[in-house]
Amino acid sequence: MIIAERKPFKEIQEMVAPYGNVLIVGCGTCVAVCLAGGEKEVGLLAAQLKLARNLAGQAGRLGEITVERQCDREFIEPLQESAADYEAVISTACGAGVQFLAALLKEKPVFPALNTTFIGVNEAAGHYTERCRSCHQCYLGITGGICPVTMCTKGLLNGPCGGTVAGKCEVDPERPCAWCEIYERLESQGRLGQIEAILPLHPHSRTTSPGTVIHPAYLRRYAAHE
Amino acid sequence: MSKLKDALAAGGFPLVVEVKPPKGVEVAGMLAPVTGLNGQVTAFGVPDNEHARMRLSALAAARLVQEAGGEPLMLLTCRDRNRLALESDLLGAAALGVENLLLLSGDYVHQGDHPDAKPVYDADSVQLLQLARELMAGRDSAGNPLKGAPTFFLGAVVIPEAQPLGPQRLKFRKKMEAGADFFVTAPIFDLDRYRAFRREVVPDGVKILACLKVSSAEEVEKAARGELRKVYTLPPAVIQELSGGDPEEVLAKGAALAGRLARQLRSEKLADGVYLKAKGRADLAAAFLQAAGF
Amino acid sequence: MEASKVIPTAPVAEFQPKILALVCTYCTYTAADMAGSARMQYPPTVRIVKYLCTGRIDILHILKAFEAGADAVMVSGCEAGSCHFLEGNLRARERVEYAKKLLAEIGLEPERLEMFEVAASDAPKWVMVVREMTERVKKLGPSPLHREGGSPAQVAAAVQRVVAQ
Repeated sequence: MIIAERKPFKEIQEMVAPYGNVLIVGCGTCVAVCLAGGEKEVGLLAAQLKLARNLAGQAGRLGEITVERQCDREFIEPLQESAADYEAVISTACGAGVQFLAALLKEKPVFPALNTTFIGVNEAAGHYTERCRSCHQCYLGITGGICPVTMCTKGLLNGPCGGTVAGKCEVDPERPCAWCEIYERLESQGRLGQIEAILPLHPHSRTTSPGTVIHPAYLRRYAAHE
Repeated sequence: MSKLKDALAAGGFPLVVEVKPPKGVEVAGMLAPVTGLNGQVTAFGVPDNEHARMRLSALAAARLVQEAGGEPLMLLTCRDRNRLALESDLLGAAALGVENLLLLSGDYVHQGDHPDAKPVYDADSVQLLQLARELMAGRDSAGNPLKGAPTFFLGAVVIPEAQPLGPQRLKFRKKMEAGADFFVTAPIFDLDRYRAFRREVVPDGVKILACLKVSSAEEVEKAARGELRKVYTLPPAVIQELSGGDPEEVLAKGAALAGRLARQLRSEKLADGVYLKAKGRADLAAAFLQAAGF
Repeated sequence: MEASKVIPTAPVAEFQPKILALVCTYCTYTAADMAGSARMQYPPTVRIVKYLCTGRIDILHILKAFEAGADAVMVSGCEAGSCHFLEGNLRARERVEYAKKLLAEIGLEPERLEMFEVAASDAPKWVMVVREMTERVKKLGPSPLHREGGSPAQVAAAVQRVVAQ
């Protein structure tokens, strides 16, 4: 899932300072799981903003609403009506959700409450780590289920750099060297032969920015836009 | 045309001395070892934003070394350039007469003085060797033909004391396959560990420049406290030998030690030459030469 | 119980803090009850909201209490290792620490919130922590959020509304 962190309160507070009535829109999917932007976090942010505004003597209403997902049009369309009474909107979704919402509410300022950090996993409650850089070319099949693009700090494709110390990363002595882990896992599975061949340069051409994916079954419907 | 190549081919035990491109444009200090030691040194290593600290460009510095009468061995890292920049810098080096190259991944940006910079690593060091080979064959990495192909003498890095050794061995093999003509090791202080690496890991015929380093007092103190987190180790005897005295004394003792190690490496045929890191200082390199008896 | 008497907000009298105590029924509540039965004297500044476990206390409850006019909030649970639900009190402590950060971000003194541990048998400690918190809040002065303030009953009611949600 997508992992995000809430921005410093002061930054959010300053973004919406010029506006009276502000609607905070939560997202009930990834950012709810990582405790950054779900219904609960919307409640906390609203409470904090209310207290801070009270302290500053600023008037205005703070609305709270959380939708299933902000990256799906069907879930955010009803928000057009909900947002009508507000001068500005804060979205606690990832960057994708914020943009989708901002595109829907074209006339209204929409502000992000989070910094989107990475695609990762839930190690334990409150503990998330990165696993994928969505690089358009998955090497996991040959690298033993450990991603060299993400887990190697330098994203090297052909083995460890010269900075590995005692199996740990050059950059962070706490973190294992991804290539040592890849090697170890493949060795234990008797699959070391897979990484003997030199991997060619990564096809960054696929990473056209911004990316688009059309499911093959929908080509007839959308291909005309391409 | 490369003296380094000829010396390695002829078994001449070449010496490469590293210079330090300045942070700024005052290049006289960088060139001091070139003017001072030229007759005794085969080539001068020119680091590329070493430790991810921004300094004068290695390409420009290599050319300046050449103009001062030295033969450069230019380092090129994948950290700061995508494949276009790597290839065009390689062509630029060739056009300026820089033939010796040492191709590396490069220390990560967090370790340097621009920690917020975007790290590139579009290619890794193995792929960079391949890029250089492609250029030599008259093509760029996209397969486009070149007008005039460059000539290079390609070096790569190997870490003798890597832990674990398996992944490093894999990378070493890939570098040989990708066309490395010679290898430069990580700094060597522990001759026993290096000897084992040389015997067990390095195939016959592979040319190795053993890196010898003159350690600063700070580094020796760190090693003495067991806090030196490097890909090489200072054995207790070396720490004891180098410890004590003011920083200059430690450097002088380090140069003497490096000289002694060089003599031993040469007599035991454990290396084909030496790459000396002596803070870019001509006096330390001269002290090394004297101790080595070269 | 002494603590639950509604204090009339007299305009002239000395500042009487409005402190909301969110407490665990197994330990602190019992201690407070015992203090009342034994007629131990302590300042009439606290209003108690009873939880089955401090682990149920949500940061939102704490923030709502301040919003409703509390001058301070105290959370009081079992001593470490003696939670009826094993680790509810430890979670409460983590939440209180986080809530203090949130208060600081807003610009409200984090000292207005504190976590205590009072065992069921320790009525004197309950008296002590109430005195301590009352003194602390008297020094800090009324919450800058509600200088006029809601009554303690209103504060407690606001929290109970949130808990019920």
